[in-house]
Amino acid sequence: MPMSEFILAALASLFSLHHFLFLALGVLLGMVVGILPGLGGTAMLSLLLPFVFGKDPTPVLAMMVGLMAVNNTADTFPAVLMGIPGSSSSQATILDGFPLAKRGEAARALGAAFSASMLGGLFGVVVLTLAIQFARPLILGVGFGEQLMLIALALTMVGMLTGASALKGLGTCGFGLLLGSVGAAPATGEYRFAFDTVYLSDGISLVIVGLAMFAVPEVVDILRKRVTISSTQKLGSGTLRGFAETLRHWGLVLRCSSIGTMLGALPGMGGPVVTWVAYGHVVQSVKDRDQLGKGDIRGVIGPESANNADNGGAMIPALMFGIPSSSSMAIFLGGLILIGVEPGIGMLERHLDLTFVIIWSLALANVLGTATCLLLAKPISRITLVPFAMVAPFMIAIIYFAAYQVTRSWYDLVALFVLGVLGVYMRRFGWSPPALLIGFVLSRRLDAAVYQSVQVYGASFLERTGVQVMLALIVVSIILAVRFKPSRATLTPDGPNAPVHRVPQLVFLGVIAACAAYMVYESVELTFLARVFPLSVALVTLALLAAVLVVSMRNRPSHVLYDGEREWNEVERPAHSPLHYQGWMLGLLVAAAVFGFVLGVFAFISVFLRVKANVAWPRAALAASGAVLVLSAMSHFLVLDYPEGILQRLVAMPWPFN
Amino acid sequence: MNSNTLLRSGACFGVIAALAGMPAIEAAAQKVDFSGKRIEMLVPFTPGGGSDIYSRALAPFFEKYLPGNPTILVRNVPGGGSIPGANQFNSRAKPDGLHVLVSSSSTVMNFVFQRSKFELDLSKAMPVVLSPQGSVVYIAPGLGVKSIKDIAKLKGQALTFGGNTPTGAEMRVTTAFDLLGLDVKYVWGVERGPVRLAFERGEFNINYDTTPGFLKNASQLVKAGKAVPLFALGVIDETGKVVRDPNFKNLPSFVEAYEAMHGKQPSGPAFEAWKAMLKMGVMANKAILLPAGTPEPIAAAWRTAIQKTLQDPEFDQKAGKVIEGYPQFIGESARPILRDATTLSPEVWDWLRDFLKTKHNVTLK
Repeated sequence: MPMSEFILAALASLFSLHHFLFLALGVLLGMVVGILPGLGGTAMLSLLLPFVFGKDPTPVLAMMVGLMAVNNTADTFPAVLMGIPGSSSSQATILDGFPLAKRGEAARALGAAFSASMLGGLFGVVVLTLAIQFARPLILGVGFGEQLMLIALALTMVGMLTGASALKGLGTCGFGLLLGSVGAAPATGEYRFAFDTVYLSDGISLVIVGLAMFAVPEVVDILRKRVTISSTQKLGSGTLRGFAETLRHWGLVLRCSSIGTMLGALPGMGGPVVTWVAYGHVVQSVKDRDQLGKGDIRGVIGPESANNADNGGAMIPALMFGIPSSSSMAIFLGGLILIGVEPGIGMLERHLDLTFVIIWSLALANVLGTATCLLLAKPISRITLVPFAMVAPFMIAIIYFAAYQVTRSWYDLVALFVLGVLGVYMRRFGWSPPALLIGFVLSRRLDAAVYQSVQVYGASFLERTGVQVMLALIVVSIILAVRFKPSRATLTPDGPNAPVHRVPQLVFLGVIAACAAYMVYESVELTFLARVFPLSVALVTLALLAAVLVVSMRNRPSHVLYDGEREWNEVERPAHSPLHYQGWMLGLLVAAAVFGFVLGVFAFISVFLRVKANVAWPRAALAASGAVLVLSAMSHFLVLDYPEGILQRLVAMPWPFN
Repeated sequence: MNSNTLLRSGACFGVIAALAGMPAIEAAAQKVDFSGKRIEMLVPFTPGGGSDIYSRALAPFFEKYLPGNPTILVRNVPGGGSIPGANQFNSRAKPDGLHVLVSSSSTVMNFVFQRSKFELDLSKAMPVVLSPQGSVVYIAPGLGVKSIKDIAKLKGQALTFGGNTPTGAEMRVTTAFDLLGLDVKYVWGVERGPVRLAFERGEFNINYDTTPGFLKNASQLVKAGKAVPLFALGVIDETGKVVRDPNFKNLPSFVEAYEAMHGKQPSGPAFEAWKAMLKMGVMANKAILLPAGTPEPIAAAWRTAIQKTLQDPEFDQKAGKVIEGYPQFIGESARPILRDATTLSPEVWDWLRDFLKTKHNVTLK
């Protein structure tokens, strides 16, 4: 049977009512769990797995595909509307999506995001269909040397995301690389900077770093400065306008989708790397970039088309080599294996029909998912018009909940709080969170790829053609970065960049430098292969930080100096300092430590609503009970448990409070 | 009846129970009733991994065969090489049959090599079932070795092997390579899937896979002439001898490979160390454990459930893949394997310490 017939047969079976209904059900379930940050589709997918043993496994597989396809779609809601990265692949969307929401253009941002998602997803599927016959040799052409070059290329994107001061941006990236080197060293398995704890032996989680760098500072910032997320009380022209803008920027969609599909197809690159590279590419390639990072619709379109195109790309290693790119994909592959389909070599020869059913189910689910999201975009956007003091306690609870899903331990909550403090001060003193994220995401990959390339090839990997081509791309990317002039505010003698009251920012600089210096000290204990990466990075970072110090000490305004607290005079200054709201965040942690998470959330939300939003006690308690209800429902259906407090240690509590 | 006869009759009962097998166990199990209960299977790994799939494949059958048809919930506590999950099980699980832990070879290995971080005493837990999983070593055809007969040709050839960590699951093959006297360059920090990819690209030329991984993917490489299976590690039989892997009757075991290479039987601390790795990595690949001190009738109910599951043709047909036809060790028959895998003699310790230090520059604490 020729290929086209397989594709048509797959399409036909796709639209059989049975298949379609289960697919749609999967999409619906995926949306419900996808909207909540941190959960992703994994919990739900693993619950479906036992049903594969049932009489008819095909609808279950259709459901699984439906669930997977909307993983990267529904998480755009919290990213754009609240600045909370629902998963690590929606972090870059926040950079422009959330500022748009703050301008009252949430619906427009969502419209653009979902239409870009849909087009990106479809692009990925088309590429997958066309390329699947040739994908194998292409993937086999990418060896350790090429992987190293790709990672280096991704790292050069930091040049576009340093913020106002290139020096500080590079220092932040170095610090991100250092944070990422915590945990087992790729070359030896030695634990680096883990303080002999089990928790840090896996390294710090990207999800927690993302929440701490984006969500926590936003919550604190908005609580201090605003009444609602949106600065206007209108939602603007909305969803359709966003849709139209995506179509107008079709070239960008096409380029970012290609990036997404290509990187997604390479094992070990997908997910978070994809979106940051796409965002970096947007900054590199567009003209008039003054608005980027402040609410430019192209900053939403780029990463969103890439992260859904990634879905299609990721199917290539999954189906053709049996290598899953995420835990959702791993569960899906598990499901395939259980029904006797062996993904991997020869999948195309043995199951070409099924392969196309999967691919086109992905496309259909993608369209269904984005269409639903588009319909919901405007009503859900209304949340940006609600007084923020009413939304904030729920958001804080959601952030902690998302962090807890990482390893389901108390340390997750503590790690979030500690890194959250870092995030808030980085924002205050103008250290770029995206730069830190890029360093963090690439750290382990870079460390491993350098060592592996040298171990396998010696220096001869530089002679490979693929490596040389990418080396040329890296040079181009660096030239673009050097010539890149970020849009920055004009320097004024008494503004945030003024050389006065420097103590707070110098203390912060000192803390960062002390961490880097400590890592130099700790590396001495390690063997050469475990030490060489963090030690070199720490030394370079220290040199950059020293340069920051020198420039900071000069007696004139400069972009290296920045203190967000100096944007106001005494009269305009918000009533509360960031510390005040960090105190509140600590409050939830303490309440959870005493009463357990569920009761702690209840107490926290009630008190917060009463004190900060002036809600009467009964109504505050009612709202808090709503949160408890949602937490209980999730605990029941998704088999989740919540952090225990002292109370649970002392007395046996009934479900869901245990 | 004095205590002596009580003891004797107890032992006698044990023997009869063992001989009579299921009926006696069933009689004890009848008193246990889990109806309306929620049973928690704690999987100390991420969803979608081998242990997770194993648990979720077995769960519906436990629901079917445990008395009272309880609901089984699989709960993942991922990370930390399964140490946090095992420790959580230790602090929370009561010996009431409502909590079981799913362990894998990495749980066992971390228990041995990072004992101080473990709160759970793995050797005291009550095994419900122990599921072995074999491993097959294969090489690139370019090395000129067609089968075990010309294994000697490997000597002196530059071999490159990729794996995750020098102290992890790969030790069952790295120790084997060392015993064979192979000249292997190691590249760490690569997961299993990407390792196979790098093997296909020709960057690595010696590799291994567990039985499912081999049957699924590497066997296709063999068919395409891109890989040559060399030997399967083998399994340990009732007498403690290493025999051929039942899934690969045509492939020699590691012991045969050793003989082909050196012309003599392997022995001494090096061989004992490899056998310990075989027990951890192959024999104790997956296990379901009840907390220590679980009352006998409850343990019996679990044993009965797994026995009935293994005999269920529906299981065989639908989920049999998760055990790949290996002999399953039920209840106490699993204990000696777990005990041997977790207690290493001082000589074996010395050998392993020296091996990791000299070959991989890793110092064991």
